Amino acid sequence: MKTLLRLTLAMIFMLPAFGGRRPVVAVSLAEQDDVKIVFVGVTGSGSDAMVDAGTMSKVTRRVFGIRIEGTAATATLRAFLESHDGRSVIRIDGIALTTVPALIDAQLPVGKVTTHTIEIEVPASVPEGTIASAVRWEVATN
Amino acid sequence: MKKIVLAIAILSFASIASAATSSGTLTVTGTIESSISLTVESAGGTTSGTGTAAATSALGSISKYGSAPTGFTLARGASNWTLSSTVGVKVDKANLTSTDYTLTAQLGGAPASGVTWKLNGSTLSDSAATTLTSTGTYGSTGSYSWDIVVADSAAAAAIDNTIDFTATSN
Repeated sequence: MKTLLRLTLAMIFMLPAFGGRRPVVAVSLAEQDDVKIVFVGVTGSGSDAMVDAGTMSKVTRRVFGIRIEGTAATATLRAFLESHDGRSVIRIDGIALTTVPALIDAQLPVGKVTTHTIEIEVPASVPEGTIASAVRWEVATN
Repeated sequence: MKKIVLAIAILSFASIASAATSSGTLTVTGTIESSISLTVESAGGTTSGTGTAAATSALGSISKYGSAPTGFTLARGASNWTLSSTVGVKVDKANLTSTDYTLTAQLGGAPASGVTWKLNGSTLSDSAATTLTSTGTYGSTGSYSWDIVVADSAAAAAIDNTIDFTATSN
């Protein structure tokens, strides 16, 4: 009987993980911090902006700001290449971006503008012409 | 019963640790422009600035019957004397499909009376550019003979001058 009781308890906790009706987990929206990423000092505003490097060769750098809006104290910022034409190497604060999110700052203060540098390096072997990429940023409160 | 308590505790902590997330996009655009660079890699004399586009070569005091400056040879003729050396010039390219370049040289100022400047055997002037090569190879240092011919009749004075190199992609 003791063994049967243990088995029953185990099944109760296992069932939801295998497609059974999930119990209501106590994660309410009210407990989450609203958070938003805002770009500063670039074309456009809000969470979707643009950096135009203009006519360039070799390496071009632009300094811009990011402000995280929310009620938390700090946040984690990651960035990755959402789309990339493969004609340049893009670095944020010296970190080369790929399609995998890279940690830019693990303790970004919320509510303050932090400055970052985007570096666009064009290999000498790339023919002249336009470049276009999109950097996706993800922020999560700590 | 002990297991149930533990499970509830874990769920509670999961609730507290929940983080808010958000995202944004920064679009990056630009136009790549082709470019070339020219550097003086070597030259006779006591040089400085080699590897850049503005090198200096100091010959010190020179005379027909004295010693040749560092990196030069001295040949004495019947009515003149010649200091000979080489100048190494390198041209690099980026984002350019051109396969070779044309290199010219011109004196920055009129040469002192009785002094002749030559590169690759051609006499340089301050009024027109002299072509050194029209098939220069990118990325490799081209070596050009450099002669300074001084007439015995030339006055004892400074012979300072500048050689301006210009590379143009073909």
